[in-house]
Amino acid sequence: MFVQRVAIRAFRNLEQVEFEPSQGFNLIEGENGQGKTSLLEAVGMLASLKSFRGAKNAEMIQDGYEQARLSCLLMRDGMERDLQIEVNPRSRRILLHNKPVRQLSELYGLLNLVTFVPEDVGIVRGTPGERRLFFDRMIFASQYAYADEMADYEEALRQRNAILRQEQPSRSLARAFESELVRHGTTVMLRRIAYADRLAPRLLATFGEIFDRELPLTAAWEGELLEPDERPTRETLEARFAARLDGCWSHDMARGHTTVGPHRDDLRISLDGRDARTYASQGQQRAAVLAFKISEIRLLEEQLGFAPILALDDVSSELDPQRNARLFAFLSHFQGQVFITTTDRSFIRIDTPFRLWRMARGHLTPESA
Amino acid sequence: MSQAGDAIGALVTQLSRLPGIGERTATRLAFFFLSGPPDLPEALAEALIRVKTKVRRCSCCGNVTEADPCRICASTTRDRSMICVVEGPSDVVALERTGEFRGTYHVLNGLLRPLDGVGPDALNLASLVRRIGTEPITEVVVATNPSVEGEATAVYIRNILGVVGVKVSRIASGIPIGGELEYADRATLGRALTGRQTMS
Repeated sequence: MFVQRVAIRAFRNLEQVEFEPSQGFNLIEGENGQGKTSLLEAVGMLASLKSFRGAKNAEMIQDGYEQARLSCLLMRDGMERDLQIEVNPRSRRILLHNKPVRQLSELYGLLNLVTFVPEDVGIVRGTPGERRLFFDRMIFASQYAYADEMADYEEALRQRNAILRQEQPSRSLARAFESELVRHGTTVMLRRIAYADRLAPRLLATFGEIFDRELPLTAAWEGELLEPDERPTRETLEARFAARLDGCWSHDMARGHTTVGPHRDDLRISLDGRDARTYASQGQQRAAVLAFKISEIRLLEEQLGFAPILALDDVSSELDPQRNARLFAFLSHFQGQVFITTTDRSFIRIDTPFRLWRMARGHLTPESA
Repeated sequence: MSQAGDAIGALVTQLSRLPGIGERTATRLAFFFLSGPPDLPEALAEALIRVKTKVRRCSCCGNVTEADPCRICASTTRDRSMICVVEGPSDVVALERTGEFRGTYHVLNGLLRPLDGVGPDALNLASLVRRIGTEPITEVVVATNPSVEGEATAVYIRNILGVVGVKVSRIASGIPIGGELEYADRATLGRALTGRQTMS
């Protein structure tokens, strides 16, 4: 799978960018603030229909324009697809072969993209909320129904919280929504546990490759409803969740929100059995993040039967030479399409041929590599 | 728009208040009243006023009706032992079109939405409990949507009717007949898989 042509209009500081990337490596060089990240964000929008910077519509539309337009020609399974996104101040319109797409779910999974951004370090060092978001995005990248399940869980949660904040919260009304909270919440917990299990052996192997020795990196979900190393059945987990909601009713009423459930869980990342947040060195933390990313790609590759597209933002050498060496080693063997942005091409130590562009003030020009 | 006078502007404004109609469609519709069939404006206005003045809620089931009780509640041929509980009047129309259900209906006029301040008192629920006490009802079929609010409303109804001792059932959801599997949306397919039935 690869994108053959990308066209960007009035997106952030990119007024008009059109380019035909190589099926292999694409290097975009430029100073900071010239539009490199915006370019990757545009490609990411075409993949997930959302901004990986979490931007709102208005932020993405260039001043003086009413809408931003992104389009690409996607080659996948021997089929060519013409995909377009119009970003309006209050709405987004998706067109496939120039025809509006009504059900967004039909588009998910059409363009499989994995991003590497500096903020990824939050997988290890960030808040529990950041970790849940990172992990949930990974699951969503291969299991599209997860987004609906998560949305249903959050809806049931909002409704229960609204009841808790009423003057006289009705226990019987809350029970009706708890049945939904338990059902969808259990689905979320089981999906997270199952994905962590599939990731585990790859995480171990990848981290071992980076350090050339055994140093067990593990990731396990932690929360009030989860026991360490347990693989609960749906029935067990549902019964436990329902009982806990019952038990914390007065406590939740006093707090004004639901204090138990997968929205409070955290992913415990351990290095040699010890919490990576506090015990791992900075270099080890970055290596752990890299191991997460590479493991995600390998899992996705196995599931799809081909390589996803990679987008790496701001790859520089200053950060961590060891980590970058391992990253480039991985990339050298990678079979799919890759977009890399950097401030200096000499940071990018790959032997494979690449196509080079220079980004300056929102203009992209090809250069000879 | 101001060039064409206030009358057209006012019509566009009112048409834009309809669900699914934006200003562009409203404008097109407004001009159609000028160029289309000459009797249309009066006929439509009359129909609208009739709906507004004649249609009310059935005191028994809560459905919209001109006569109280409504046609279904007044019928002598319907099965009085079964009640189908639905969110709104349009659901009654949809279910009636199937010709499968011979019982009576009960229209909630909404779903439980605590976030929007809609609790049990805002729904047509008290009269449902009353009906169970006075009519020879043995089964209540809850046919609300399979959304979070629809499911929670169904659970709530089951809980309050559980003490009365009436059978409460929930409609199944899954793949539509005549609909090809490959065209079913993901949520429907997922639900159909979860609710699969053993064949042997």
